[in-house]
Amino acid sequence: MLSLHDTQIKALLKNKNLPTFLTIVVIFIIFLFVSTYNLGSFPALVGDEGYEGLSVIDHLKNDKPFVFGRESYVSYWSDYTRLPFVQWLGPTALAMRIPLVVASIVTFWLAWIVLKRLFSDYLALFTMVFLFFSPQYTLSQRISWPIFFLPLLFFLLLFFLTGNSRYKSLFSGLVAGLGVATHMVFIAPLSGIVFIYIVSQRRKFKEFLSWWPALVGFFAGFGMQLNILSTFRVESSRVGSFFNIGARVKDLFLTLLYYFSGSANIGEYIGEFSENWTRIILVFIFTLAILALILKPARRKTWLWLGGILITIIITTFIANYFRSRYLHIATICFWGLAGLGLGKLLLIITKNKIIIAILPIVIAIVFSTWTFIFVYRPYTATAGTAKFFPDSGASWDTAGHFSGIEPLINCVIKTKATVYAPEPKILNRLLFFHYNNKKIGAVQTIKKAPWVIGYRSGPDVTDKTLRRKDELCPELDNYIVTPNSSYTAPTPTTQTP
Amino acid sequence: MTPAQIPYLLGKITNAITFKKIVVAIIFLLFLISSTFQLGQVPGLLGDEGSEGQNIIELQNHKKPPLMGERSYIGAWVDYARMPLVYTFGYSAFSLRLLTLIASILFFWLSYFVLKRLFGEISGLLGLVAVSFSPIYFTQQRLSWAISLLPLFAVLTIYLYKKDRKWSPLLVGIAAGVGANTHILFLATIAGLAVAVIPFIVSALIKNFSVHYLSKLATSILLASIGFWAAFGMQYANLVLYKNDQGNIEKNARNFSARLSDLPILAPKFISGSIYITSYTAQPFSPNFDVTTTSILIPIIISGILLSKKRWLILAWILGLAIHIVVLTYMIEYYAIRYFIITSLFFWTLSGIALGLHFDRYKMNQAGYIFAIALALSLSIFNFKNIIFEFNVTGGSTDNFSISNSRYDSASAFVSINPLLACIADKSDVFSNNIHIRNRLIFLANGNKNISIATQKKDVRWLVKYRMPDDKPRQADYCPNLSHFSVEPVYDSRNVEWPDNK
Repeated sequence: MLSLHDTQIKALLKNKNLPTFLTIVVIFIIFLFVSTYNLGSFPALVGDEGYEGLSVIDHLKNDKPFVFGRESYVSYWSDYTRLPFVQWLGPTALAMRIPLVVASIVTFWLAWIVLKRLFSDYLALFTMVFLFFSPQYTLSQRISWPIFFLPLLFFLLLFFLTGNSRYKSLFSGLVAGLGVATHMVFIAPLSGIVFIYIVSQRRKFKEFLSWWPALVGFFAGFGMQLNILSTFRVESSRVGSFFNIGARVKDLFLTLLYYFSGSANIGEYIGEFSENWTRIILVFIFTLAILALILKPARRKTWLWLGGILITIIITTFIANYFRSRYLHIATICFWGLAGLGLGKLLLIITKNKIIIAILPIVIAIVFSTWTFIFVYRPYTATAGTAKFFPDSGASWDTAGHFSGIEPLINCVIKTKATVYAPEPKILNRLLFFHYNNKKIGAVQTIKKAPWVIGYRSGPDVTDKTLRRKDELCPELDNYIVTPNSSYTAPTPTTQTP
Repeated sequence: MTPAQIPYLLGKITNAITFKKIVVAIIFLLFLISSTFQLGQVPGLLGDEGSEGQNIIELQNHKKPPLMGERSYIGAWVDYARMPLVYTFGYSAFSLRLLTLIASILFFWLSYFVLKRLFGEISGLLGLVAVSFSPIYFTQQRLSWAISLLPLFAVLTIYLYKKDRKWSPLLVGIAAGVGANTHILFLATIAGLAVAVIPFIVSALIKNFSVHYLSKLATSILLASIGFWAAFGMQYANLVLYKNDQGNIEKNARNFSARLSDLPILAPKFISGSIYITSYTAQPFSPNFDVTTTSILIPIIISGILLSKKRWLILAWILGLAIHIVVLTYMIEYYAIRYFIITSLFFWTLSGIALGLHFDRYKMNQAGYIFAIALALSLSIFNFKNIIFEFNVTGGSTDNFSISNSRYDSASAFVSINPLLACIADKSDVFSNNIHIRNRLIFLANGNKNISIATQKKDVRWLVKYRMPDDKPRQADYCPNLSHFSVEPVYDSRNVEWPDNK
């Protein structure tokens, strides 16, 4: 019996775009594997994830107004996506990250639709592979920070703008508002999109006023957060300050090299990255990006794509007080997408064989994933991270300690029944987050109440164990150091009167 | 324009002027006179108006978060809308009330269009006259309370709902959202409106059941929700973050049934509007007045329902009104007359419509127009005689009046403050332990150098109090001839109740 199912398969087989369809399905399977592989332990719970997790716990315990996120410039809604998982699986990195993986899957398919609309199916394939298998995307989209929900909102916005919905303006405005509510830094890519959209639709500029529903949608998405931002200004002043803008502009070029090469993202995991590889990657993606701008087809769109990236970078430089790779995440992955577009265009010149063009993106996805596995995953898992310092922008260094595995430290604290404090909030927040479900972790929030203090181990004693202090609580720890607290005040014993 | 064109234009204008338009113009003129007559003097600046006015200054001086209204449940946009009026016309009751006046004019025309469209020319016009010349409207819609803007948003929501355009659902949502942003009690009105339209939506759904219709309905609900949230989301954050001024919600819920049981006793006072007039003069109307007025209005409504072909529409409105009252009674902590403005106005609107349906049914259009003018005139005369002239004679009263068996209110909030201002013009460091007096003085002092408000407890030299009707002036009082206030010297600063800044 010929069922409806069989008819659909026959129709599908007749589809001239079948190779593309099969390719994207295979790429998606690889993407799913890469996105979920050791999700809960690679990386271990990151410092700020602990902070985010504490915000989730506050919501679980009704300890804070439910409209308030981790900070005034971060919306509460991301906390609520994690809340059921934290309740169900307990306070773990995995529980925190599940919503982001779901968002990432949706982003993947949205991007596929958008890129197909903007470029041809085949070019979209290459753009997809570069975008979603770039080290920046692979390494970032598993960390549960609200800022990494932004690619989803970015492509959702493009989805509405490139679509034919009757209510396009309203939904676009709504998504834009939700994006800015999720994290203030979304203003930058939003500006890029708005600028490019106005330029590309210039003939319809007279219809500008007909876009008033976008403003309504924007307020529906951002209104509540705007109130919180304007009420709690101390926190929100961290974003949007023009202070030190000159230094940031000066710092921009080198910063972009770190971010486009992915070395800053890799540094977060393993604390260092080969300069040779950095150069190779930069040459590789810049060459392909230039090819994308030179070669046909869709050359105008490619230039507009680049224009959007540049505007995003410029606006980020203005609104962010300092550079972090996550602030320029969308610009970075879009630049990789541009490189992918370049490769796609080049291949169209070299060969017209659809099978080769359909298989090659799969090969690239596997190559990129394997590269990340060899150069980041393996070194990271071998040492559970490190506390080394790496250049996280042109002018500043940060420790990779925030990404280092905290389990050995927790085991130490539980085993020795020590009460500990960490002046570094990114250590303390993680301990407090795990403490929610495991009261054996004796972490306190006041330094005077803790006989032991924790810090990162980043000196020569990382490799030379003989240099480790004799009074350390757990000298076997490679990334952390637990030492006696000189400012500890022992509690005065109370006497009971009969 | 050439001189030859003038007769042609005049002819065109003359043709455009119809009897109907003349009637509407006369009614509007009367409405304008009613709304603007002694707008800044009757009643005197209210303490709550002073407080809302002071909020404008605090927002201007960045002394509070920029999106925070006078209360957590009152939107800041109202203060921003008043800001240019206060800066243009000075720190006075008149400036504050100009916003309500503008809203009132919009309300008049929107109501006219809505009622005419829903119920026909004469019914609509009589509904309009009944509502906009009612003593309730006359007394309450000249006050600069955020809550006084709610009737406008109620009628705007209906007006936009009746427009069948692409973005109508979104605009309906925005209008409802701005209403709820303005004052949280508008949620009760939204509940009423929503319930009133449900029977029609369900009936249309049954008639035109299809996936396309369902999808259109779902889209409309989605658009309305987005519009609502765009206007209300910002205010919602205030409601969640600042709960201190929202009373005890659990206790309110527990007392809900007690409030409901008080409702039948209160209803005649609210429907007749007598309680609203009493708030100006403290002179209670006889219970007969309430009963008589109510027993005239209700049969009119019932007869209208029986006679009209639009009886289902009227019944749906009544159903909506019932839901509105229940939700409102649930939300409030106690009965305050301003909470029930929409409820009372709605009764009068229905009565006017029902009255007009009789004219429509017997096709007495001309008589209907003349009756509309007569009704507007009669109600205006009633309002002027019992409210404006009465108030001008006494300057209000500080006496109490009964709202329900268990609750009294004071008319002191409405008393004329001008004699007090004249009295303290040459006094320094004046203060009042009464927050309502203090709010008025602080607001007015912004634009009046003659008013000197003490900034520290130890500096207070003169204390202003209400003089109750039975109080005799004391020898030490300054301005003993003041009817409603006493200005007493302060010998001991312990008598000053300095507000807790926390």
